[in-house]
Amino acid sequence: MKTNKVISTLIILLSAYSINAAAHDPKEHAKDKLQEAPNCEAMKNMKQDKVDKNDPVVMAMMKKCHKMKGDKKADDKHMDNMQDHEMKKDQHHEHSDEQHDDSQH
Amino acid sequence: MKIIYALLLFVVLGLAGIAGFIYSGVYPIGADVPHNKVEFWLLETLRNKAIERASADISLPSLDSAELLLAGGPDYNDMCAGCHLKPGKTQSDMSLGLYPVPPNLAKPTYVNTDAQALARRQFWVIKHGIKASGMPAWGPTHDDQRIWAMVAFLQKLPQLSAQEYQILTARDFDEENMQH
Repeated sequence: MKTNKVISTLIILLSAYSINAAAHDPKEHAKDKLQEAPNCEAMKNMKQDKVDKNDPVVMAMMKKCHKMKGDKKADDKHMDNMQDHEMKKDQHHEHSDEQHDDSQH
Repeated sequence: MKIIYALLLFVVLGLAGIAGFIYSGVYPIGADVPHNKVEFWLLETLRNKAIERASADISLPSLDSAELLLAGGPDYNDMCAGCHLKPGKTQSDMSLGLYPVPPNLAKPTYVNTDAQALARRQFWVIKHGIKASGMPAWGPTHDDQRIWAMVAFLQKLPQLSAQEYQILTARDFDEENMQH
C-alpha cells in the first residue's frame, strides 16, 4: 500500500515536470509569432570574395538555406505528385465512366 | 571599556538608522530613478564578483559549430532580443524601461575581455538569472545543451549583420536536433 503511494507520487511529480518542460519546447514559440522564413535571397548579395566558407556563421547560413531549398523542392515535388495523382484519378474516372456507358449499351 | 560601549552604541544606532530608513518607505524604488553612485558601485561589484566566482569552474565546450548557431539563434531571437536587442536595433520598450539597463549584446563592447571567461559568465547568467534585475533563470526550463547553443550564438552576435541575423534566427519548425 505504501509502495503504491510512493509510485503514485513519483508519477505525479514526473508528469508535472514533463508538462513544465514541454511548455518550453521550441515549437511552443511558434504559437507566439508568425513563422518568418529565412531571407536566403540576401545571401546572394553578400560579397563572395569576403565569404569564408569555413566560418561557422557562413556554414550555418548555407545549411539553413540549403535546407529551405530542399524543403521547397520537396514541397513542389509533393504538389506535383498530388496533381499527377489527381489527374490520373480524373482520367481513371472518365475511363471507367466510358466503360460503364459502353456496357449499358 | 568606554571605547567598546561607544562602538556598540555606534553599531546599534547605525542598525536602527538603517531599519528606520527601510521602514519609512522613502527609498525611491521606481525603475525610472537611477541608483546613486554608491548604490551603483555596491550592486555592480556584488553582481560581478558573484558571477565571476560562481562561473569560474564551469567547463567550456567547443562553441565553434554551425549546428550550435542554428540551435541558439532562434532561441536568442525569441527569448532575449526583446531586451538585449539585435543588429539594426538600438532600443526597445524593454531596453528603455528596465533598470538596470539590459546590456546590448549585439554591440561589440567586450573587446578586451577574456572570451572563455565571458562565455562561462554568459552560460551561468542565462542558466541562473540575476536577482532583482529582470534577468530570468532559464535553467529550470532549458537544458545545458540548449543554453550552450545560445552562448555560442552570443559569441558571433556582435559581428552579425541584420541580414545574417535574420537567416540564422528564423525558426525551423522541423528542429529535431533540439532535444530537451
